[in-house]
Amino acid sequence: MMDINLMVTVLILIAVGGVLIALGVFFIPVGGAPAAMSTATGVATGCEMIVVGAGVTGLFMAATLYNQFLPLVIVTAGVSSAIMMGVTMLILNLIVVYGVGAPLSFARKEYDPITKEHVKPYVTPGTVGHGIPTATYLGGLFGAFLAGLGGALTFSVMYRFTCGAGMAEMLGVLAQTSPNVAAIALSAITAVGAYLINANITAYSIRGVIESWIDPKFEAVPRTLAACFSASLLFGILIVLASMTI
Amino acid sequence: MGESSAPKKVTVEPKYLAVLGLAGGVAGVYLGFLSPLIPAVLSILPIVWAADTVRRIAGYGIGTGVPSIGNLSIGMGVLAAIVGLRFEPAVGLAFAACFGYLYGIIIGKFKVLEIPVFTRCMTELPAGAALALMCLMSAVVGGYSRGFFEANLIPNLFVTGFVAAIFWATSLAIAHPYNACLGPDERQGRTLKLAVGVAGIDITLAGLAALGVAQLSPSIMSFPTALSMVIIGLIVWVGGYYVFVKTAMRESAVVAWTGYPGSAR
Amino acid sequence: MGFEALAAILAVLSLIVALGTIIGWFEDLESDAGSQSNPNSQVQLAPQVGVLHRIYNKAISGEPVSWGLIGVTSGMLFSILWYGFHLHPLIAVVASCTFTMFVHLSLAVSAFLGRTSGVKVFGQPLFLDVAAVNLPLIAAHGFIGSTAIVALSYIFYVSFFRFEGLLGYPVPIPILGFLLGVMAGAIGSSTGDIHYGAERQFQQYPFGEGVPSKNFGHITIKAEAGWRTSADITYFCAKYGGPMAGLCYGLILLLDSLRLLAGNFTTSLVGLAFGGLIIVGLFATNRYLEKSARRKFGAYA
Repeated sequence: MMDINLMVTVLILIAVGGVLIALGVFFIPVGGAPAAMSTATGVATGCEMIVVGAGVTGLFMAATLYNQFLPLVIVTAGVSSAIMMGVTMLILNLIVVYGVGAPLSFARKEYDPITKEHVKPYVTPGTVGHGIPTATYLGGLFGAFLAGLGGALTFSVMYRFTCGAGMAEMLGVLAQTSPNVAAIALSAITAVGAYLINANITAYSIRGVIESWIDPKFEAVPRTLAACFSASLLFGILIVLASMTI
Repeated sequence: MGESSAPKKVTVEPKYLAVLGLAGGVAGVYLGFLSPLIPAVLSILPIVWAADTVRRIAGYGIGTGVPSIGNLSIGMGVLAAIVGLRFEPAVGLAFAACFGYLYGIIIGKFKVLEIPVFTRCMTELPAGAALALMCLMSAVVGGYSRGFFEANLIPNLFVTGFVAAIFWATSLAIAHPYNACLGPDERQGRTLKLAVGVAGIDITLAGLAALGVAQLSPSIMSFPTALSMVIIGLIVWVGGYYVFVKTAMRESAVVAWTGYPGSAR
Repeated sequence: MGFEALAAILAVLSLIVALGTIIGWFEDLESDAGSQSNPNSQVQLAPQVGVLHRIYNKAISGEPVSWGLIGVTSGMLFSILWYGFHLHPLIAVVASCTFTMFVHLSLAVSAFLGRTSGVKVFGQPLFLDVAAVNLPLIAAHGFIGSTAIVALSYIFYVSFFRFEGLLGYPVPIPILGFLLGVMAGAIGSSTGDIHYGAERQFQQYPFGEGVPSKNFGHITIKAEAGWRTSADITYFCAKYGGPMAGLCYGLILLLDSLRLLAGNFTTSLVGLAFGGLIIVGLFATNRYLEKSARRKFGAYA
């Protein structure tokens, strides 16, 4: 009944998903409460919640494409998350520019590393930037893509495992013509659990605030990812036990 | 948010709360075969225990606000609770506590966060969350019994999606009390009174879900039982809030009703 | 596929986008009505720097969490009433959202009382009339937002099975409500809140600059006439912050569903390429906005 190879594969895929989620959080510019006062750059909400918010669009997409080729499903879901993040950051910038009247800028670097423009003069003294300039915008898109990839990987793998798919169906096309709603509910709840567990490790590691890849906190990536890999492996055991064929 | 002061004097020792929560939660899950009302009522104890644990850990500045710790605990707790209800509740509890402990060790080992009580709180939080979830989830579908996961839980709680409400309401019941009372004058007694009130909301929602279950599959849940679960929840909700509002008004600097005639105090 | 089926799908899509816009809009206004999430940190800080105020302090664990609860509660009650008791969906929506608002209001009251009594040393008074005036406001905005969430979940769930997977998501309604609520909260707190936090909350400082950290806590407590209340804030933010949050939510649902449709009508790879195109478009728009803002506003002076 139990296929050890399959279970180990599932466990490793879930751990990889957790690492992708955690890495995604590093790339998303999160500003927390100061960002809502235009005192800092970044998205003005908590780490784990913006990641769950972005991941949700990916989860929806993964649920709709429940029976398609696995790599295609997760990449599509990742693009969905990136679209959600891209729109959110664009509207945020619109509000910062026309509602607050501050041009997009950050004080971390003198020049924008992507566009090579001089951004320091636009910063209000006493703050560290406003809105999401190009360099961090790109980081946010990429981070949301990674986080969506990780979440959709966790969700799809668990869905297929719960439906009793074999190794070929797990990584390829699932032979199913109508979705198993109970399995979707179970996988969605546990995927949200995986999001919360992994995003929180990164959130603690960066103390809740980061400016995407231009931030010095970025050097904490290796040990945080190692922590996430171990934690995901740990909770992957629970996920595998929880979602054995129903 | 994020005053980095360690918790101050306490009215109730955390040790007693832990023992109460542990005993109450385990008794609740295992006595569910007598009546589903027992786990519903006893779920208050693990919720209060977990809320007190949030209070202890969030007193240190963790950088991401109070709710994140509640969400983290529920993320671990729900996985352990599903495993527990599937195989054996005690195993689920053991998993929650052990894996929470290991999670705390991992966080410390990789130098992600260095807080003295983190490992201990990470052991208690998922255990409390898992117990509360197991109590409520089993109460909704008529109490825990052998083999009820496939027969009762999946068709009634997962296919309909009711599980999400219990999942998230428990998360709020754990994180909300300390988050709502936060401040330099926060007091354990007041926070725990609110925890009881919010646990009442959680029980009410579980009772409403039980009403739905009673309608969908009358064989495992009777209508009067579900209705009395709602009423018990409402009593705990209103009672807890009554006591909390009284306390908060007594302990505020000034209580004033201004701007409207005939109401100066 | 016939013309009528296509027209029906596009009609449902436009309904989805309209409902999404309402969710984002009212989600943001509901949070402004009680100073939830990010601006709450300043409302909480104000008494510590000696600024006593009459602004509602609603600290319910941040917007995504509390809107997740609103979405999941109303979604669960809706599916009990609709699926279990076979009520008409319209009646079920109203009944479920009414109960949900009782849950939300009791959390809101406890946050106000708890946070105010938590800053006793700074002498912040507990104004009971502030609660009495603002609670209906919070409930009204929350009610509209939650009806939109439930209606949207219902449409997504029903249309997936009606249109054979072309549109919608095969997720149970309570879980859809939960995920849509979390998404609404994440969007509302990251977009609309800035209009409140950076502009309305610090209106006595000049327009056109971020808030330096030395001004933290010194929030605007006087209105055009008398003391500022949360109703004034909602009135102001309803003009720009709220609609923009709505636009954001609507745009996400529109772009994502368009991509899903593009993929379903052709092949998934086309959908993927279309998604890539959308991302490039978003990036280009953002770059244009950045350049034009810097050109028009100039450096800080």
